[in-house]
Amino acid sequence: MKSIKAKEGEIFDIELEEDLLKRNEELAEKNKHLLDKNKVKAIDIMGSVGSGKTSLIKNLIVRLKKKRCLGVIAGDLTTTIDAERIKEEKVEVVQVNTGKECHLDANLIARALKEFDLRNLDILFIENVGNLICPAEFPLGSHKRIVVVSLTEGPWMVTKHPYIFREADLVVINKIDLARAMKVSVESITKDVHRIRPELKTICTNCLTGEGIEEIIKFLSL
Amino acid sequence: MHELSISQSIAKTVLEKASEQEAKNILSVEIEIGELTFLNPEQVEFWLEEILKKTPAKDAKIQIRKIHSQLKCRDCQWQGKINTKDDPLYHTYFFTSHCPQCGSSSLKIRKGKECLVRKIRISR
Ligand SMILES: Nc1nc2c(ncn2[C@@H]2O[C@H](COP(=O)(O)OP(=O)(O)OP(=O)(O)O)[C@@H](O)[C@H]2O)c(=O)[nH]1
Ligand SMILES: [Mg+2]
Ligand SMILES: [Zn+2]
Repeated sequence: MKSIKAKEGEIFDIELEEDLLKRNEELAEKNKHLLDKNKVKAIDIMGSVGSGKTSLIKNLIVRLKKKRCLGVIAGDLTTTIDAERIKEEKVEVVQVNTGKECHLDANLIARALKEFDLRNLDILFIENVGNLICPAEFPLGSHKRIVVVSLTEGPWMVTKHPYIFREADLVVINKIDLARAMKVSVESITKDVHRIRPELKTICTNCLTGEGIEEIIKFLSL
Repeated sequence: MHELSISQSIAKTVLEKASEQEAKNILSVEIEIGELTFLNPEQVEFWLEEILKKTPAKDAKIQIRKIHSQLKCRDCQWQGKINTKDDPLYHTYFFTSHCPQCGSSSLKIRKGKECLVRKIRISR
C-alpha cells in the first residue's frame, strides 16, 4: 500500500491493490493446505436447488461409512433440513447457514473446519448452496468439485450456465429415471457438457435406487 | 449475483483503510471489476451507496471501471479477448470458453476475474 502523507485538512489518495475475490482464493488455498496436512479429501457439491445434492451425499455416505471416516458441511440459506437428513446416517455434520448469501465462501468453510476433528476424518463432503452461478466464483479449497444437474431442470440448464462447468471435475446427471416424463435425454445433456469441455467426465445417477453411485466412488477414488 | 456481499467487503476495506489514515471524510472510491466476474457494476454501485450512507464515505463519488478480459490458450498459445455474449438475464458476460484459433477448451484467464479497490481519496 502506498500513501502520501498530508497535513491537517489536506486531501490525499490511498492507493490499494485489494482484490476481494483474490482474498477468497487465498483463503481457499489455506483451507486446502489445512485439509492436506490432515489427509482429508474434500469434495464440493454444487448444483441447482433440488437437483439432488443432499440425496447424492446420503448415497455416498451409505456406501462409504463402513470403511471411511466421513464429515459433511451442509450449506443452506436458513434451514437445517438437509443437515438433519444427513445426521440420520450418523456422520458428523456442520451446518452453515449463509443467511441471504447465494454461495458458500472460503471464510465460512474455514470456520466450519474448526468444528471438525480433522485428524480423524478421511473425506469431507461440502454441500454448496443450490445455485449454478455464484459458487463457481468462490473456490472453497476442496480437492474436487462436482456439479449435479438433474433432468427435471429441463434441457437448457447446461448451456445456460457454462461457467460452473469450467470449474468442475465431475458432472453428475441425476434423476435419470425421469427422462421420459421430462422428455429430456441424458445424451443431449451430456453433449452440452462436452461442448463446454470435451474431457469433462459425466456419470448418470438415480439417487432413489443408488444407480451410478459406485461409479462416482471409483472415479473419485473415495 | 452476489453484489451485496461483495459491496459489504468493499465498504469494510474502504472504511478500514480510511480510518487507518485518520480520514475525516472519504471523497471518492475507485473500483475495478473484471468482465468475467458475475458482478454487475451498476448493482455494486447501488449497494455501496446504500451501505455507505451513514459513514464518513456518505458523499464519496464511486467510480467503477470495467477490466476487459485477457485469455491465453494452453494448447496453441493464442492470446486475446474472448467473444462474449451479453446475457441480459444476469447482466454479465458468459464467454464461449473455446479458443478461437484451435478450438481448445483449455483457456487460462489472465485478466477479467478481479474485483479491486484501487484508490480512495480522503480528507483529514
Ligand atoms: N426421481 C428422482 N428423484 C430424486 C433423485 N434424486 C433426488 N431426488 C428427489 O429430489 C428432491 C430434492 O432432492 P435433494 O437431494 O434434497 O436436492 P438438493 O439439491 O439437496 O436440494 P437443495 O439443497 O434444496 O438445493 C427430493 O425429493 C429427492 O428425493 C433421483 O435420482 N430421481
Ligand atoms: Mg440439499
Ligand atoms: Zn488454442
